[in-house]
Formats: sequence, structure tokens, C-alpha cells
Amino acid sequence: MSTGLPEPTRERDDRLLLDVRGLTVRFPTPDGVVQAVSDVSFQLRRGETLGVVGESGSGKSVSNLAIMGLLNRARTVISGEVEFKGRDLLTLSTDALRTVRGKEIAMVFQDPFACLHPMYRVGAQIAEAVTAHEDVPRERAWARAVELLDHVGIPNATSRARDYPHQFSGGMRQRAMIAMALVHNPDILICDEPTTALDVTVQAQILELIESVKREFDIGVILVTHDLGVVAETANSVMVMYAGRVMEYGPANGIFSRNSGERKTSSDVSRSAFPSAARPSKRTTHTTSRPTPVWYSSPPGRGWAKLR
Amino acid sequence: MIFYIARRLIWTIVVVLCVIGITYVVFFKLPAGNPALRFAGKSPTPQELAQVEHRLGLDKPWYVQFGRFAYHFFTGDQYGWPGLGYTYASGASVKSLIFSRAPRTLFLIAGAAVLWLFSGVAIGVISAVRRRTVTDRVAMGFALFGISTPVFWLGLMMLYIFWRQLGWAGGAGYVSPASSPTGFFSHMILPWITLAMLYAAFYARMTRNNLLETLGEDYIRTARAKGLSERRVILKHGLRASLTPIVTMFGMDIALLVGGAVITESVFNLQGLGYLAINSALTQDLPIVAGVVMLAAVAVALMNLIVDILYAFIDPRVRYA
Repeated sequence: MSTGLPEPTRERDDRLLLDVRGLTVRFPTPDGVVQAVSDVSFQLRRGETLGVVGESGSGKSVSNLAIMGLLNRARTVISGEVEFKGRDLLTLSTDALRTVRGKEIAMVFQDPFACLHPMYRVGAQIAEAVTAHEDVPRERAWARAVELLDHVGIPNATSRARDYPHQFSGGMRQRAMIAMALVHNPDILICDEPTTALDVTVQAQILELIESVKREFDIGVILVTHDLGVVAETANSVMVMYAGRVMEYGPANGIFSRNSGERKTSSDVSRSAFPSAARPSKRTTHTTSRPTPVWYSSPPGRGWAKLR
Repeated sequence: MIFYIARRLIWTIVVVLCVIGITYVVFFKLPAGNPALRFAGKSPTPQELAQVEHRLGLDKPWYVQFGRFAYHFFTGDQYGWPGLGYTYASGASVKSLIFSRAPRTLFLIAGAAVLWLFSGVAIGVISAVRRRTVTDRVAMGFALFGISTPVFWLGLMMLYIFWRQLGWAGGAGYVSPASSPTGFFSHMILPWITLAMLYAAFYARMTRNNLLETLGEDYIRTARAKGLSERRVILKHGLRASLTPIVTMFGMDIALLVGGAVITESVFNLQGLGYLAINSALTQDLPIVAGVVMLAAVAVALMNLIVDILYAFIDPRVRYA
């Protein structure tokens, strides 16, 4: 029986949104099985930003697509557990998963130039996200689209909603994508390199927007990025990936303080990613100068161990 | 937009005149014998021949005749506007001759076009969605069959099976819809299917390839991430983006057929424009050839214009200056 007082541990569990355990993604190809993600585990809580860093091909995007159920199930082998609000997303039927997608978990993608349909009005694309999960009249959905465009900082949202994506700048498109993601007040917002394709000045604005959205709606954000500066500024916890594996995972301040000092850390990856002025060694770029390995079988030990 | 259309229409007239000018040059510069010989009776004297040549206007150089043609076209002749002149053979009005034959060809094209557009796109979509399954293989096998089968053979087989053996359809020949609607359909259904088969196959292949390419686009992933049903993702987001090349091809295919679906018309003895053009080319009846060529050229130019205008509706990125 509960005493009526909130227990601290219970309280923390209530805020747990996503519990990923041992996520592994394999792509069978004619040349053998590519293991893109190996045994990835992490947790995401409300109000938390999880920064996922790692170079191209390290499995960041694939793990998020797997969580969203956006990988073709017929051509991928996914194992592990992705627990979201007591349900395992990996075992959910396609239809059940669709009710989660865009409603409870929303995603913002890397390239806003390619992610909006070029032939439909921006407002219509956002309104479509409304009607996908809610049986409302067209005008209501459109009004919601305009309201959200205004909310994410599109000036003259009423008239701009009638524009086509090519009439929007890159930053505005990414704002529109975020508006589309917010339609149903999701619990989790996955941002897959949301600023990579944008100008530096616009990048800061978009990140700020994501941060304010997170605070306002009290949601969990997974922020995939190359940019450690971004992570240092916004993330509460950090996961460093390399060759489909988690190299480091922990609170942001822990990882950053550890790596900025003289101390040698467990991860070459994160060390190499912090080219410190205090340590201008030749080794600072060695990981990025190597091609990312493609594993045709489960790699033994740590992903980069074999490369030595 | 209106200026754009007006400019295009003026260009259409220029292009059509050029095409007919070339037709006149070809007709007079290529050695094909003197058309007047045909109408001057048996072993005519030079005087008789000259008389016939004069009557048909053949004693003038080609550019004068072409000028006359263009002049009559714009100002009209005794048969009204646009003046297309009269045939060498019977002196009948070319315009009324074309008007009497055109419905046959146009009905043939319209029916076949509806058939091939819908069946082709539907087969393409199903094939793309069920990629690498038995359905896909069967559909693409059908496409290969449609593309590689000669129309005359297919037409004859259709006639043999569905008219001679089964009696499900009417045989060759044309029945006007005004005199007997059922007879019209019964006689048109086989030519429609025959003509549509080849095009449906092309369209199925093209739809499949375009759709598969489109389905790899990022905005399709966005549509899925929104939680849309797969059906909506494919039909609304995928197919819309795959339509542009299909619209282009559709416009061009229809335009080219206006000049005459010659083989289909011949196999089913429809005696449409293609038949008229071939016959008059063989009998050197220049006015009819010029009339049909003009109609075909106008059709190509107009369909081009329509396709370009449709583009603006399909793809908002297309803007006309």
C-alpha cells in the first residue's frame, strides 16, 4: 500500500520514457550480414536530452530508425527490447506501431530540403500529421498547422502555411519539420542531426527551439549529432557510438570533464573527438581518418579494437 | 500564365507551318512521279497533262503552292475556315474528309488511352509495392509480353479468339456510336485492348521504376514517421511524385497517335486518319497528306502545351516566366 507520499524511486521511474536494452540491428546482404547496431542500451527520461555522437556509419541513425520502426522489417533483423510506456516497440504490430509513430514518438530528420514533400503545401503536410491520428475536420487540422508554424517561429504563419517547401529557407523548413513533429504533443522527440544541413547561424536557432520545446512540453529528446559543442551545450547525458557499439554512455558533465583533462579515458573515440588545445597531439584525428568498419559478422570485443 | 499560353500558341502555329512546308518540299523534291498523270486519263497529250497540272496547281513551284495553302488556311476557302483545299482524286473537301475520319481515330485513341493509363499505372504500383514477389514477376512478365508483341499479330489473335472462336466481340470494321452504341463498343473493344496493351506495358514498367525510386526519398520516410498508413504513403506521397514523367509520356503518346494508329486501324479495318494518310500518300494526293500532317502537328504541339500547363499543377516548383 502506498503511503500517499511520492516515493523518490517511483517518481523517477514515472519519468522514464524509453528503456532500450541490447538493441541489435542486422542487415542481411548478398555479401553477408551487416551488423549496423550491436547491443545498444540506454534510457531516456522526461525533460532529458540524450546526445548521441559518433561519426558517419556508427549506427546512430539506424538505432533511431529501429526505435521508430522505420526500417523495413522484411529486410532487417532487429533484436533486443525497446520499452516505451510498458510496451516493447520491437514486438508491436505494424499497425500498433503506426499509432505510436508521429503521435507519441516524433522524429525530425537531417536534411530539411529533402524531408518535406516538394509538391504539397507546408501547412497541408503538417495538417496531414494531425489527421493521421485524430479524426478532425480539415479546417481544424489546418488551423492547428498554422498555430504550430507560428509557435516554432515562422513569421506570417497564416500565409506561409500556404507556401510550398521550396519557398521556405532551410531553417524555416526545419522549423516546419519540428512543428510537424509537435502536432500531437509527443513524449519523445528524436532529432537526427537536425542542424547538419543548415547554416551555422541557423543551427543555433534550431537547437534553441528544440531546447525550448523540450522544456515547454516536458518531453524527452534524443539528439543525434556530429557536433560535440552542441552536445556539451544541450545534452544531459551523452552516448558515444562507434561501429555500431556504445563506446561511452553517461551524464554529459562526467564525460566532458573526463575528456578535457589529462586523464586517459576508456574511449579513444571521444578523446579523439575532443581536439583539446592543451594536447595538440598528432593522434587527435586518428579515428576520423580511418574508414568506419563495416561488420559482416558480429565483431569480437570492442568495435575499434580490431583496427589497431 | 495567359501570356505564356498565348506565346506558346503562336509558336504552335509557326511550328505547324514549318512542318507543312517541309511536307511540301519532300513531296515535290523527291522523285515520286507526276501526280497529274493519274488524273489526265490514258496516254494524255502534253496539252492535256499541262491542263490537269494547271487545274491542280501543280504547274507552280512548291513554295507558291505552299503559300497558297497557308493563305487559304488562314483566310478560308469555299468550304469555310480553316481552308484545307480539295483532294486531287475527287475534288472533295479535305476538311470534310478529315472530319469524317477523325472520330474513328480519336475514339480509338481515347478508349485505348483510358485503358492503358489506368491499367498501366495500377499494375506498376502493385508491382512496386510487391517488389520481388510472384505478383511483381507476373506483372513484369506481362509488361515484357506487351512490349515485345507486334501489334498486327496481337490484333489478329484478338480477332481470331474473341470474334471468330468465342464471338464475344464484333469483328473488324467501324460502327458509329450514333447508329448503334452497342455495336460501337463491340467493334471497338478489341482495337482498344490491342492498342492499349503495348502502352500499358510501358506505363507499368515506368510507374514501377519511378515509384520505387520515389519510395526511397526522404519525404517518404517523413510521411511514414507521421504515422500515415502505408496505402496513403504510397498513393498520396509516392505516386504523386512519380506522376510527372508519366504525364509527359501520356501527352506525347496521345499526340503521336493522332497522326494515325496505322497498324491497329489496318488490322481492324477502322479506316481512320492513319489509313487516310497512308492511302493518300500512295496515290500522291498532296492536299490530304498535308491536311493529316497538319492535324498531327497541331496535336503534338497542343499536347505539349497541355503537358506543360499540367506540370504547373502537379509540381509547384515549376514556374513560368
